Amino acid sequence: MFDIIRKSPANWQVPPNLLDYDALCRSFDWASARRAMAGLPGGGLNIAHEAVSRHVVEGRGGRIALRHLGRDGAVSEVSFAMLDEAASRFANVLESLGVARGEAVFSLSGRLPAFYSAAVGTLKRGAVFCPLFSAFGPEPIRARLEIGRGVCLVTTRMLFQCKVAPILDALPGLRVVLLIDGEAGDERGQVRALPRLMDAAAARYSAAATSPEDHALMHFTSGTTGKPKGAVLVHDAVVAQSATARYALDLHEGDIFWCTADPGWVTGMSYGVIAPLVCGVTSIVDEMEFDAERWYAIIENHKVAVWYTAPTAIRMLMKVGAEVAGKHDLRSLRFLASVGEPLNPEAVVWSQRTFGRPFHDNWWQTETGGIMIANFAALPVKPGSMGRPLPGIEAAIVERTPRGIRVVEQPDVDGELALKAGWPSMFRGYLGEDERYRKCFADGWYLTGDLARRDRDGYYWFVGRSDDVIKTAGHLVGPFEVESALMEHPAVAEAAVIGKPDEVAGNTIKAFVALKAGHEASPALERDLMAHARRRLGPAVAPREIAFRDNLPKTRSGKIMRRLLRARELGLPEGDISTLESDEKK
Amino acid sequence: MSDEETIARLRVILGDIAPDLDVSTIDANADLRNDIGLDSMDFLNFVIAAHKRLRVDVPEADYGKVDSLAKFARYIAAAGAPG
Repeated sequence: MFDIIRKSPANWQVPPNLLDYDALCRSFDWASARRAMAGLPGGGLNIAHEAVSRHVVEGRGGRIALRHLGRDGAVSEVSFAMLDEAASRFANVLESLGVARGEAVFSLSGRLPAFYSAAVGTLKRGAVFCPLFSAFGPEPIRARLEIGRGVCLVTTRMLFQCKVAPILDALPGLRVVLLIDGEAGDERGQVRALPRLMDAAAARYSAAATSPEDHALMHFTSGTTGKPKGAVLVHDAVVAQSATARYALDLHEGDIFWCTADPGWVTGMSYGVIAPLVCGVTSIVDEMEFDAERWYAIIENHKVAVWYTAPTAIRMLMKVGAEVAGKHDLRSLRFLASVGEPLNPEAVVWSQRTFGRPFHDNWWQTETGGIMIANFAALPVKPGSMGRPLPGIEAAIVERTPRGIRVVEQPDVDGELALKAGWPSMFRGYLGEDERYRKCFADGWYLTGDLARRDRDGYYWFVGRSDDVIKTAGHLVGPFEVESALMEHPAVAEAAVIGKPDEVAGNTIKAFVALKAGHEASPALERDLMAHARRRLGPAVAPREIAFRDNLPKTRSGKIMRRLLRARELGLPEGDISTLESDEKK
Repeated sequence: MSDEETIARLRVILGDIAPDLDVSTIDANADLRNDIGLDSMDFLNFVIAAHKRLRVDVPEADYGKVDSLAKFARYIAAAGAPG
């Protein structure tokens, strides 16, 4: 057990937004939180208005919304007024290209200012914004554009060339591709240069009169089986995203805030774009990938107050060592938070020692749209725990029964983490998959698929996943998507993938492959399979390790038992193998 | 060993980590993560493999100094690694 980290008001540079947890939980309700929103002048709710236009209308347009750090070291600032204008131009571009309200606009880009104006502009237009992870390979991109019915894609020339051009013919529904750095010479067919269109577009646009329940965002996530799922969030999500950012991230107006998440994931959108804008903070937007020295220099030079990052990055900082941190003045840091996978207690203790402040782990999912369970600035931190439910969120440990679920009242019992349905940022569907959506709920509770337990003090502790989904570097990877790509290789007869614990990434993906007759396992074939998988899926999703087997363990119904492969790989008990029909052969 | 020779050996190592890349044509000055598209795990594995095969020590704090093949080769030359 690790010692509880207690907080002292004497150390607070700024009093936390949430001081009395129990009192706030009692008094909080979403209707009041909703009243803090400006609403559209003619009625209705639109995230773009709450996030950006409102600040301009209320006289704060000159404040800095984004501080972009380019790869060449250049710093450029974007005020709320500038972002509002760019978003309006983008909304006009969409309208002129015939992108209708409710249609899906996808992005595939790194952290560029144009990404922000595209996101906000799409919401202004009343269309649905769907960011993709730019490290995806062509196949995950194609599958998501198809499932999500993307009509427009915003990307860069380079990403377009490498990843989109090869799949363009397979996407007849994709009517427009907008190149952020495109020039007139790049234009052919549906491919258009965005800067030229932006220059020609009008600088004003009245946000579409969306209602709180109109679709706003779509984020893809993975299940154990089947295709990726497009989780849909509505404009009302902004109510929860902003309230949770104030309580769980302790954002105060005027803060310098750095969310390091990639914009292709839900964190990068909910807390990289929407919540910080609504809360009126200045966001650091770093175009480059992780580098310890540079990261510390960013915190020092830009006086970052609130830092929201992920366990993989924190563990890399730990490897680099406290001495590197010690060379920088990091006293601007007021609040540190982590999300993506459970943060190991050693990392919490390390940050307390190194920065004088603990990382505050919090828990949520694509489907929840916002932070649900968190460690708070004013509350004690139990290292290794995900914390306590946000005000307005009712969490429970439940057990599935033949007729529904049973809520487990007693503490310290492992069970499935469930949330009482109905908070504003809850997903409203998986696009085109009503049955899979319905299966996520029972007796009015959303079943998260995560196993957890609650201790006597009401703190929740992550135990594991209830399915075979793999969490690698903070991202969920569905085994089916990886296995399908491997199966497309002419030598592969069967494939199964598992998560293998890794000290930096949490898990890495390992594939077990059985070959078709006439193919021999060899280092050359392993390399060829690896190259195939990486080309199709991208490095973040492809396996890092491939092992050959003559046969994979299967149930009577022919289902490959990933659970058994994983238990054997990790030397864990094999558990119930009564359904095993055909065993693994090495 | 000249920088060119080191770069050639780094290309082979990179090809083992990311066999999907055509390593022979990669610009030696391109940033391995931001231009070539290695993710952070790839990059970590690349540095670890280079450590084993070229016997060069790269402390984590120096990862920013080896983010292209050319910079990596200069780093190795400066470190006086036996190669």
